[in-house]
Amino acid sequence: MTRTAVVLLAVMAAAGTAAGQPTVLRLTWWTDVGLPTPFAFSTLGPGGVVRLTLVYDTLVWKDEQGLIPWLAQAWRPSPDARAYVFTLHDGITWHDGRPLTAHDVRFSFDYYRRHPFRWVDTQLVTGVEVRDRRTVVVRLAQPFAPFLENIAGVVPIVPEHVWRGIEQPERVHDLGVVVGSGPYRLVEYRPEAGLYRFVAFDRYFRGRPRIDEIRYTVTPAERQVLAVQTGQVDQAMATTHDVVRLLTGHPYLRVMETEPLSVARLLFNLDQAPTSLRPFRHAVAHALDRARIGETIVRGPAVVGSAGVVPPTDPWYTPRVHAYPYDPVRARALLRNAGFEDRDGDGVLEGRDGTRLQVELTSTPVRDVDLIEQMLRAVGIDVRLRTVDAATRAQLGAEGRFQMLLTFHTGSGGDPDYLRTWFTGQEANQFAAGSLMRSPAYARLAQLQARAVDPAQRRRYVEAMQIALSEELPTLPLYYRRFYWIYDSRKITLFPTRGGLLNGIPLADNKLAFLR
Amino acid sequence: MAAAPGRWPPGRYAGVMAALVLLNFFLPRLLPGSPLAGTGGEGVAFLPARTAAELRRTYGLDRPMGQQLAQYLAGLARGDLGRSLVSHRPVTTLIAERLPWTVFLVGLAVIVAAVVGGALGTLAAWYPRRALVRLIDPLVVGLGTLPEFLVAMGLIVLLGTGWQLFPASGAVTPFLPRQGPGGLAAWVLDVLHHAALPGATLVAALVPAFFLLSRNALAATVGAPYLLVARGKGLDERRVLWHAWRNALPSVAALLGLRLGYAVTGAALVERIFAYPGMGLLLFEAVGQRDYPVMQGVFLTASAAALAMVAALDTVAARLDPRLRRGAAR
Repeated sequence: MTRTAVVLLAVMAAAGTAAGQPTVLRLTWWTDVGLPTPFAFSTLGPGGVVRLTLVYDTLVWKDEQGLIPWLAQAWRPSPDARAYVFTLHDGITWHDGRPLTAHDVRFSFDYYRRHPFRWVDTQLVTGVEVRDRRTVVVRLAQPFAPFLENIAGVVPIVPEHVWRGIEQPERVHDLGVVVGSGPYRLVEYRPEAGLYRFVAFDRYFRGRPRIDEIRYTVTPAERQVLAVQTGQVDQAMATTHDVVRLLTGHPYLRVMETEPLSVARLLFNLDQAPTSLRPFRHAVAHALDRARIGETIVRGPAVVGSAGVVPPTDPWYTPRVHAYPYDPVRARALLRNAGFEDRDGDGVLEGRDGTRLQVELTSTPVRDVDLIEQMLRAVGIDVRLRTVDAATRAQLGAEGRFQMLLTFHTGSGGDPDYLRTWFTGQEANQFAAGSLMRSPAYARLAQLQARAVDPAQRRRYVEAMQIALSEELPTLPLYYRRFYWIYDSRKITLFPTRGGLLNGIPLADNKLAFLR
Repeated sequence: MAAAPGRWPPGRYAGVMAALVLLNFFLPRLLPGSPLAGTGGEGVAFLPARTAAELRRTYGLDRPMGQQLAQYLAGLARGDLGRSLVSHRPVTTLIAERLPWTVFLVGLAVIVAAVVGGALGTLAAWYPRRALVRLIDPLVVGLGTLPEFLVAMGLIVLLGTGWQLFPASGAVTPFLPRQGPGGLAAWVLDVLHHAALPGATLVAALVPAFFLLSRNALAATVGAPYLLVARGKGLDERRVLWHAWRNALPSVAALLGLRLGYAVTGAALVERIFAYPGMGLLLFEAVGQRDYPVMQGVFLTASAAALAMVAALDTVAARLDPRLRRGAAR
C-alpha cells in the first residue's frame, strides 16, 4: 500500500513537472532592439532583425544544411528566372486566428515598396500575382540568383488586415500590431530595460514550439559569459575561443561555434597615395602576419583572411585567389621596386622625393592596431594611428576620408552576392566609398553572377570576382571570427545555421532550435 | 526691487535656456559620424542605400540646417522633442521611461553621500585629535582617488558575481510583477536591492567631496569668537556644533544642489556599467548611435534640470544665509 502510494506520488510529481512547469528560455543581448515589427526594429546590429523572426515567418528558411521550405512548402522558378511560383503551406494562421493567404504575401511586397523593409531592399520585386489562396507568383525586374536566400528567406510576411491603411508604420508602437504567423507571440515588451517576453503560439502551423516561453533581457557584452555561468541566463555570446577551453567538461553548458561570418579587414583608400599604389597594398598584405593577429585577438585558432574576401571555409571560396603569405622580405622588395628605400637609415622608408612612407590607420581602440603598427613598422612603413569611435569610423569610411581603415562586421557568408553589394557601392555604410572596385570588368562580373541562372556558371563568375579582388586588393581581410554561443544543454540544443541566419548573421536564435 | 547679490533675474535664465536650446541642436550635429552611416563593431548594420535615403527623408535630415532648426524649434514649442532615429519612438516617451530611474538612483546616492560625508567631516573637524577620527581623513580622501569604474568593477566582482549578495545589472528583476498581494512591497524591495551596487559606487564617488567641504567649513569655525561666546554662555556641545553648522550649511547645500542638478546625466558611466536603465545609459547609447533627437532631448532635460537647480539654490541660499537676505532687502 505504502509502495503504491509512493509510486503514485512520483508519477503525479512527474506529471506535474511536465504539465505545470513551462519551459522558459532566458536569452540575453546587450541592448534593446526595438519593437519587433518590420518597420520599427533597430537596424543597428543584427539583434533586431533576428528577434523579428520569432514573430514573423518568411517564405523559406534555413537550417544547418541550407534553405528549407517554410511558409512556402514548394517553389519553382520560371525558365527565365524572372518569376518564382510559391505554394503556401496549408492551415497557416496569424496570431489573431485569421488565416494567412496568398493575398497577405502580395500585400507584404506591395507594402514594402511604399514602406521599405529596413534590412534588405525589395525593389527588385516588381509585382506579386495571386493564383489562388495558396499560390503566388513573385515577379522580378531581372533574374536574381540570391532571391531565395536574400529576399524570400529574409523578408517577413505581414498581415494585410493589420497594416492596411497605416501610412506611417514606423510610428506605430502598439503591442497590438505585433501580429505575425511565427512560432511566438510577443506578450510583454519593456523598451527602457530591453525586456521581451514571447510565448509559444499554440496554433503554429509547424506544431506548437517545444520551448513555452522565451525571455530576453539585457546584459552588458563583457558580462554575458559570467551571466550564463552563474545561471542568470540560459544562453550567451562570446567572440573569443577561450570559452571553449573554459567550458570543456562542464556538466551542462555547451558551446556552439558558428561559421566564421564576421570579418576583420583593412580597407585601403584607392584615391590617396600611398594606399592607391597597388604594390604598396600588396606589400602591406605580405608584411602582416594575419594568422598571428587573428590568433592573438581570437585567443585561439583563427581563420586567416582570404584576399578574395570569401572565407576559406565557405563553399563559394576558390583557392585560386592570390594568397599573400606572411613574407616581410617580399614586402620590402615590393616597396623597393615601387621606389621606397630607407635613405636616411632611420628604419622608415622614403620615396624618391625623400618623403617618408607614412600611412594613417583609422580604427576604434582595438588591440589589432598595435600588432599592425609593429608589423608594418618592421618593413619600414610608419603608421599614424587615428583612433575614433565606431560612429565616426563609419562616417569616415562612408565618405572615403581615410587612408587605411580597420573595420569588423558580420555578413561574410551565405550567398556571395555581398561581393557585389560591398564593392560596388550598394550599401549605405562604411563599405561604401574609398575602397570600391573601380574596374568595369568587376562590375560586369557582379551583375552577371547576380543574374546567373546556371549555378555552375554563377560559380565561375563568383570565383573570378574573388580573384579580381585578391589582385586589386581594395581590402585585406585579416581574419574571420566565429561567434561562440554558450548554452544550457538541459533546455536546448543550438546548431550553426548554414551561411548564418538570414543574410550571414552569426546568431544562434534560429527558431528551429525552439521547435525541435 | 533689485536682485540679491549673485542672484540672476528671470530674464537671464530665459536667455541662458535659449542659448542652451541652440547649443543642444548644433552640438550633436557637430560630432563626426552620422546616424545613418551605420555603426561599426560586431553586427554592423546592413542598411540598403534606398532605406537610408528614405530614413533621411522621413526624419528631415536631407533638409538644409536652417529648416531642420526651424522644425526642431516648432516641435519644441509644442512639447514635441521628435522621434528616435533608431527606435522611432517619441523622445519624450523615452525620457519619461528613463528619468525616474536616474532621479531615484542619483537622488538617493547624493542624499546618502551628503549625510555620510557631512557626518564624517563633522567628526574630522570637531574631534581632530581622536585616534579613530585621524583614520577617516586618509580613508575618505583615498576613496576619492579611486576611479568610479574601478569601484564599480570591484563591487560587481565581490558582492555581485562573487558572493552574489546584490544584482550586478538592471534596475529591477526582469518581469517581476508589481500587481497582486504583496507585489508592490516586493517590487520596492527589489528596486532597492538592485540600486545597492550602482548606488554604492556613486556614494563612494560623492562622499569625499561632501567630507572635505564640511570638514573645511567647520574647521574654519572651530576657534571662532562666536563659538567661544556660545561655550561661555554654557551652551552644551551639541548646540555649539549647530551654531558652527549654520555657517557651514550654505556651502554644503550648494554642493548638494549642484550634484542634484547634474543628476540627469551625472551617472552615465555607472549606469552603463550596471546596465541601469536611466538617462545616462540612454545618452550613452544615443551618442554611440548619433541619434540626434535623443541626444538633444537628454541634453535639454539635463540643462533644464541644472538651471532649475541653480534657481532653487539661489532661493535656498538666501534662506540659509541671512547676509544674502539683507542684500536682497537693500
